[in-house]
Amino acid sequence: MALTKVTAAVIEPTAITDNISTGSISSDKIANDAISYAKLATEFTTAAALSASDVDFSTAQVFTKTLTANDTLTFSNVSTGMVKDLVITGDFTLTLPASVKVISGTYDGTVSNLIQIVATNGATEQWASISQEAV
Amino acid sequence: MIAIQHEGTIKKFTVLPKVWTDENGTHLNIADGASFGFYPVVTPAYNNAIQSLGDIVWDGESETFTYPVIDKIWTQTLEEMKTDKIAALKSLYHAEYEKTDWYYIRLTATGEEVPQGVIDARANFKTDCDARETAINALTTQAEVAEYQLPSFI
Repeated sequence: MALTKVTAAVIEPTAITDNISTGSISSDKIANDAISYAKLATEFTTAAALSASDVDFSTAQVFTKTLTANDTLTFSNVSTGMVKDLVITGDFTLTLPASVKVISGTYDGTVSNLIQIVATNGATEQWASISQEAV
Repeated sequence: MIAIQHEGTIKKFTVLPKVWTDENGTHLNIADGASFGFYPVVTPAYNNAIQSLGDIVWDGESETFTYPVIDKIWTQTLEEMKTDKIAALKSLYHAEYEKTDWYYIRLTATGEEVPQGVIDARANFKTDCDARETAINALTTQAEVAEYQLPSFI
């Protein structure tokens, strides 16, 4: 069958094919207020229970863990600007990577602790704030 | 008081810190301080009139941080120290005299007699002060002068 080259009614064919072929879409192809929560990747929308000690920043938004002994967590796939939440319980010593600077709050082993991590410089520096439920 | 040796210095804390960061990580909720290098600070008994404490050091034998006791070295000579001690002594007695001076002002102004108890007390002050001055002058070392306890009238 012969191919017919279509030239009419195609908007910016070069731009569309170029961007799709490189796995991206230019910002003018996305309408304002169009990215919904449902379109976000699971790394931004899911909670994961930590069975091991590595917190992989690319896998979930919230990580939960109940300490049963002193524990040391490591971080992986950390990029600047990422914000992750650790919900930790257990009255044991919790060790975070040395790159973590605690800016507020203290860990209370008798209750559940929300440790919010903000990556301010990739894997080099993260700031953490620790808080508990108000009683 | 507890302390830890970290990055070449000894850091002191009144209690175990809630957060501690070292080369192994940022530690939260520390319960066993010794496992992180925190040990008690023990202040040895010393006589602060003639001794002082040096910089805090680690004592591996007792697994404590402590201070070496150092004998004081005075910049003043023995005679200078005696002079200062006697001046302080006389200042104390002078202050005690002043408390009853008003009896003598009243005597001058009104002719009312000074109570015998006041007269006796002032005489005793003079005797005591002279005796203490003699005792201070008899001291032979700077440490003795430094240790000499002045009276307290409080």
